[in-house]
Amino acid sequence: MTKYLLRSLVSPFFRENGGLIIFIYTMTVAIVSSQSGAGVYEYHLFLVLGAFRHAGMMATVFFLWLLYTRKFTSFVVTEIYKPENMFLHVFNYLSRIRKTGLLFLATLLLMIPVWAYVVFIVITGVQYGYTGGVCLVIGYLLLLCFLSALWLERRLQNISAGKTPVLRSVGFTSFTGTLLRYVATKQLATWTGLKIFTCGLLFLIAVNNPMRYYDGQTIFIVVSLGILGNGVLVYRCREFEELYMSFYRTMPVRTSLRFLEYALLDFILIIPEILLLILFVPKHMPLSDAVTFCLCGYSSMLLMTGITFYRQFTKSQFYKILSLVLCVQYIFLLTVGLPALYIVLTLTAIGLFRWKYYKYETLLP
Amino acid sequence: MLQLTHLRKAYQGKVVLDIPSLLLDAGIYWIQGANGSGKSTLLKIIAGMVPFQGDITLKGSSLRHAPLAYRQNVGWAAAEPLYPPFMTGMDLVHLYQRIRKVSQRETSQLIERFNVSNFLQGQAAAYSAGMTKRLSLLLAFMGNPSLIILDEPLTTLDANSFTLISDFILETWQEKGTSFLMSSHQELDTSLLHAQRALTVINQSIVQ
Repeated sequence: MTKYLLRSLVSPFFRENGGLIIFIYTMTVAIVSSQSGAGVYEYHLFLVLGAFRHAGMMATVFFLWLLYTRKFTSFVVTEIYKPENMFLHVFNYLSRIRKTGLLFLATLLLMIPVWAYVVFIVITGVQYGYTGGVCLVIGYLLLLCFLSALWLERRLQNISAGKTPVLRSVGFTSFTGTLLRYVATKQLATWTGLKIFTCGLLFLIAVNNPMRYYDGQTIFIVVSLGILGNGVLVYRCREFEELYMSFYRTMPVRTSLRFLEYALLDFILIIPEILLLILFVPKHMPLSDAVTFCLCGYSSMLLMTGITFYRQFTKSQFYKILSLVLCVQYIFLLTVGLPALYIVLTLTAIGLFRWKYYKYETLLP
Repeated sequence: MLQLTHLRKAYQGKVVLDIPSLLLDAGIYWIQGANGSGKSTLLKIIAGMVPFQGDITLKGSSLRHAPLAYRQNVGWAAAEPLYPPFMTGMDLVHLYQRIRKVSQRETSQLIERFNVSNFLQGQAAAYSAGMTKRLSLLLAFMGNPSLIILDEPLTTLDANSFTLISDFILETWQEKGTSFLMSSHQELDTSLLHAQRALTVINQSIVQ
């Protein structure tokens, strides 16, 4: 039975993601050139000791492991619901403890790429006297595996009922909710990466510049760049909509309401940037600038959505247009000012939506 | 009931449909035509999915000038329906129920009638082509539309489902007066789905 479970749930994950895992390992573990006498071993030694010494760094590592756990759990859930794996419901005849035990074993195996590095962490930790940290690392990973196993057990229990796990319980059966579910299930890594990059950069620039050295223009450029980075998500959401939600075009929904649905999605996607800007007030940024930056960022999101309705652009065409938008923003910053910018961007977005919403030819079905 | 006026559709400069005028009374219609003749495009246009030149009016509501009222009266099922893989059939039913303002009673009746309750709680990713097709047909019937457009309704359906759909189409027409526009690329006996009239798409136009 264990064999069938592992073959159905663990092997497919490594078959599909093995290449990516090897690539990441090669890039982050193996390819580190020697510099100033320090080689691969020293590099990783400093990384591990840094994690033991600084809680923030350890928290980042824990977060990355959580993302990885989420990824394989989500993959396994998808596998469970595949028609060819419907036979897995026979596991429901086992006791709950036995079933959870088997799934725990599966999650331990799915965690192999992490365990491989944890061996090095444990040896280093013991060697340098960080036994408490070592216990915390092992305990955390076992907890992740156990929680993942519990979650999978629940999914297996409902194999024939198959309730959707994400956002379902709060009644997210709206258009915006569906696109948010898409981001939460399929684009979480991209969203997180974008937020870490944008918010991280913004945070570092702001905290290192107290108010007396405040440079609003530089911060605005960083905010703009980060917000336009969200264009990746806007484009992917629209691609997803074209492919999987074309039925929605036939629904009796007002154009204004459709626009508000996209507007809500755009707002939710940039909540971290908005919150961060608000947190900077008043120590690192005046309130007026924070509000202006938020409005400019949000209107940029609306414009990006509007642009996707002008016609069906390829990815590279879309990104070139975004570069142009960044240039326009910079020109506004240097000339007429930012309030004019967000008014122009918002009006352009509304205009594009109003006049071009599904009035172009789509290449997808 | 349905009126097409100066309807014209071109892809990259090539005209695929050019229908100066067409008036269809209420009824069950079967649209035929070879692959690429423009059947699906015509149905998508009438369903309000793709842009076109001209206008379409359904029971006095113009797709161009009163799209909301028009869309409220049209149900649509694609030839090869695709739904968000993480959504369950029930999520989609709830979405349609909310937007088309369908009562719980009517929804339950349709679920029972289409015999989909056994898989409705599962995610769309796990559905077979036949299951997805049945779900799409159910969704097309939701909200009592005056016109239901079914693109290739027979593909991927098993014999039992075929009989079920066929009977339900006739029943809906007789009891509610709902019209149907269905398509097939095959030469079929129009009595198969109780079609009263066959239309053929030839040379970018419709021959009755």
